[in-house]
Amino acid sequence: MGKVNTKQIKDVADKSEDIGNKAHEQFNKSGKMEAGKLAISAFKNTLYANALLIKVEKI
Amino acid sequence: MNDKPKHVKVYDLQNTLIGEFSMYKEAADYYGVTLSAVMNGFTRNSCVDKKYYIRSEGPKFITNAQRESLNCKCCGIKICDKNKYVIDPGKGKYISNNCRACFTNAKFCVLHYESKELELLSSRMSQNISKRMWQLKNPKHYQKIRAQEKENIKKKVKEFDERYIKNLICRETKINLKVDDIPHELVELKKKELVIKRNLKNQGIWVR
Repeated sequence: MGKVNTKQIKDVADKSEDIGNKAHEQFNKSGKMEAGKLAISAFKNTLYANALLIKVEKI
Repeated sequence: MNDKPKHVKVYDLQNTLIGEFSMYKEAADYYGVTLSAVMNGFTRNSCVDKKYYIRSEGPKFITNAQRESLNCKCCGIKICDKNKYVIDPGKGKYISNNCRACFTNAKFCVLHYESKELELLSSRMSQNISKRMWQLKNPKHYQKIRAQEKENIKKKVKEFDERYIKNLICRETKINLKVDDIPHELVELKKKELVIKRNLKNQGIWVR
């Protein structure tokens, strides 16, 4: 587990969170389905990346 | 030649000896019934459709809390003199927590069976039968509890309970995270996701 690239995972988490937040704002303004779906998937990615980081930190 | 002493004796309703066995298990296999049935007596259909009640006599095992509940097999603690215990459903085996007579706690002492077969039987019984028996004995109480549980779950889902969301994250990520490890920021993130999902659902769009 020592070879896990945590920096890369952090990048993924940050970027997907940004995308999610933007899509969320757009969804709140326009109520478009596409924006909502994008926000959901982006948040899911963020969650998963963060969960992985927590796991790596624990190990 | 079988040298084992035959302790288990099976009688019919007229008290005539039908069979002798060395073990309860042997008798159960012979008559095609469960172990507890042999120990407690059982009815059996004969070939002419007459029912017979068969009782068996034999050495008693160190069995459950209700029969010999003076001392815990684990720690040797004296549980109760009055020998009346409520079987706690769903806890596995005969764990007697509360005495009906004196309302004292037995500190979760688990009473184990000596024979492996009875151990198995007891766990199965406690998981299925005793729980079901309790439900049947207290139908109104059980219904009330179930309704309350359902309401609580609905409330948790509706109000985005933090514990509920943390559990959800643990389940969805599938990497054996513990609930306490999840920070509050992730919970907020999940809340946002759930709010969007709910909004879309209200519009008639189902998103996984």
